[in-house]
Amino acid sequence: MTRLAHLWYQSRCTACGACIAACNAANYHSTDITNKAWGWLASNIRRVEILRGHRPLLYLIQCQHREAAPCVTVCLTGGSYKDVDGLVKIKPELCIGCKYCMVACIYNARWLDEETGLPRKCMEDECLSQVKAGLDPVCVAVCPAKARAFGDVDDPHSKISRRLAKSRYVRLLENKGTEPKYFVVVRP
Amino acid sequence: MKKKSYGVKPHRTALGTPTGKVEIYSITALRSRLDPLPDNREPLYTRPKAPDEFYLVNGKDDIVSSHLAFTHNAKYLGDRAVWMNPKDAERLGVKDCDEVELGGIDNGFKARARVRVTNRVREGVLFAYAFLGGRRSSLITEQFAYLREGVNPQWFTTGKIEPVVGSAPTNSTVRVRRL
Repeated sequence: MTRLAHLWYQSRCTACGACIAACNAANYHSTDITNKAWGWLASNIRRVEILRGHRPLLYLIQCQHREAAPCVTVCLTGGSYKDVDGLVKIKPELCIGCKYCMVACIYNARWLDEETGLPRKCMEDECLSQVKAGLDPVCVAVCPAKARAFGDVDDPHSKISRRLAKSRYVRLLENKGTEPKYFVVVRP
Repeated sequence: MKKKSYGVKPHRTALGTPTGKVEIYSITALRSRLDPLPDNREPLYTRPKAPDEFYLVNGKDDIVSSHLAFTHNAKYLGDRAVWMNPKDAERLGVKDCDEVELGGIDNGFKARARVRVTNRVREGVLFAYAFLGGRRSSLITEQFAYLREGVNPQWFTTGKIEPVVGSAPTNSTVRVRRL
């Protein structure tokens, strides 16, 4: 079985925003349309800073491609579905723009494209074609700090599996029991 | 055959310094008859005294400060607010995203900026990115009006030159007034 997943190395990340800008450039042709849902640019990665805790913390939030994805469960038409490669995807031809999936996502990882009226999320067409060609998604490819990885967690020889095997990692809101596949490495 | 000696530790050859040990100091300063070792000197700006007075320090944003990115995403990737510690903000009654007036204690220059309440800056100190906010170029079009937001930390500086290094410090002290 293939289960593609993203990894983000929190302490290696320099918060340069290259992944955010690359997502905007590759998947949305560097559009200047404002992503009003997040108050952000048209990109599938959102920067969340925790500014009131014991120490400042930064998170890059994107679709967690959960095993039991609530956005898929609530979808009325089958527009949001979990593919055989383990990624949660959208079929625009089936989506009716009801936004249930946006409400169901506890990570707020989907945003509304006001031009089409449909939700957008990680991963979009350009990244999927890169993966199909055996390459990394753009956010992983452009990271100057090598703080990102992508691959099959079921393959013990994949880059992501090897990194997970030697790292201490967390998964965001793991206690919700939906098996997120976005691994945040907190310690080597 | 005689063994090579370069791998032997500790090295027996004394270093070519006056003491024969490792010495770290500025030879250029010594030649100029200045004290080659660092010492503490008063800054070239007035130190803050009142509770509404702060040091204003700055640093580089890794995208816009370095490249002046006239791209649409620079609006989101650059932070044009002035950072303030939560304890200072509470004392002054300032909330996140509130607008405040900053007045240079030394030069009296006044400018407005939004506050970002964050623990990324310590008490008594404000932070703003350099070369990011407060751009005043007449070439900035309406599309890039966000470049005018925020402050340029150099507005509040004295312009005096550091005696040893010879550079103009970009740190300053400001008085904060809630609007």
